[in-house]
Amino acid sequence: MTKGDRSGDDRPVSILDLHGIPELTAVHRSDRFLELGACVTLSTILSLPDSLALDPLREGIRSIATASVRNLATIGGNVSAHDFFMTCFSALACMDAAVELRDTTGARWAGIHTLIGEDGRPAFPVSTIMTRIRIPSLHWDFATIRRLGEQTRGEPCPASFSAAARVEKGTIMELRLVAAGRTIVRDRSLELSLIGQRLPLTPKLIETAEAAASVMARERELDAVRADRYGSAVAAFLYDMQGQSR
Amino acid sequence: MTIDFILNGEDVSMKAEPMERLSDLLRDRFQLSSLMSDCLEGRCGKCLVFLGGHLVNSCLVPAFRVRGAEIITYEGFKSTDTHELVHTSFGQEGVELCGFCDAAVYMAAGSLLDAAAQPPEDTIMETISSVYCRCATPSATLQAVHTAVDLKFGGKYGRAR
Repeated sequence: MTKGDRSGDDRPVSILDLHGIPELTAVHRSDRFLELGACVTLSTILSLPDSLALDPLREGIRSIATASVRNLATIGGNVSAHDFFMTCFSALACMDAAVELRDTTGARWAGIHTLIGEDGRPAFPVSTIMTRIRIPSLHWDFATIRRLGEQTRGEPCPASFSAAARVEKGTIMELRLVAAGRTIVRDRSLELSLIGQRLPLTPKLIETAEAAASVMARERELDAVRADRYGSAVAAFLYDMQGQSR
Repeated sequence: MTIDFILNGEDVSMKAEPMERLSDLLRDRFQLSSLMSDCLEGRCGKCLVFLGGHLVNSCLVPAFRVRGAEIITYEGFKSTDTHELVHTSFGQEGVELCGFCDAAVYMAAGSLLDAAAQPPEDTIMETISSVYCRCATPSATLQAVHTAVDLKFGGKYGRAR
């Protein structure tokens, strides 16, 4: 069961225990990607060698719960939550991860974005299980993840912000900015407006990006507080990026 | 459903609903009173057990998950050398914990000593922070854990040749 499933109604809960299937707990590494079984625990991912380009995922996992909870929690469970997107989702969306989905018709690989509905909310396909997650082995010059809200602080819905960028000769070559909570926010037009810009960015450009990010987040029904935090997180990431690149 | 597993080195069997909490089952069926069911959300860490060698919050473990697994609770951990080492270290540092916290904190500390090599500082801090305990200051608890780590690994690692 994942967060959001309900067992309190009259129907008996059907349980399919997957943890004994070796394929689901395997970690496979190649030159081009890292493949994680859906039942790989978060602590196993943290214990992978530092040489693997796993940020912002690794940083995000470190912010989840406690070490003992991470020994139980799995990457598949984190990605498949029904009510809202949990921390790993924004990181994996940022890293262009793909998921292997299996149903009665067979197995297929799909981008992680197939788990997002048209309304921007989680839409995990019915009668389907996720078996593997594939993360491209791409090195990001800058990557970050930060919480935009905490359920433990009594806030209605947690949310996270992930960002990754690649810079060549002082120019932004690739940029990903993703916020995920009740809905997911990724503004490709904002990303494209920043790609190709030379560092350092002007304060005005960063302010414009901050405002555009907040507006987009509100449009995607991320609540007002988190929308503003998203804008601030975008600005902080851009400032941080040019600070580190000096 | 019938669930067979190994509890503190003994083969046991019990009938339980698949979604019953392991912490409740261990307390109610096996009278293991070291397990505290406090928050039931994995925050307090008072119900830590070793499941297949990994430290986990038993309140978050559904009964079906323990089929064929090995579980060690504080009652089983108490008879190990690792417990002796942890207990000695906490005594040396003068850290006294209440009966509500000591089992979980000792098990968290013990999990660090079972590693093949000396655990890094961030692992020590993260593991110990799995238990919400204010019997002693966090720095005093950490000092006691460091003492245990030094007693276990001291002289073997971290020293220039």
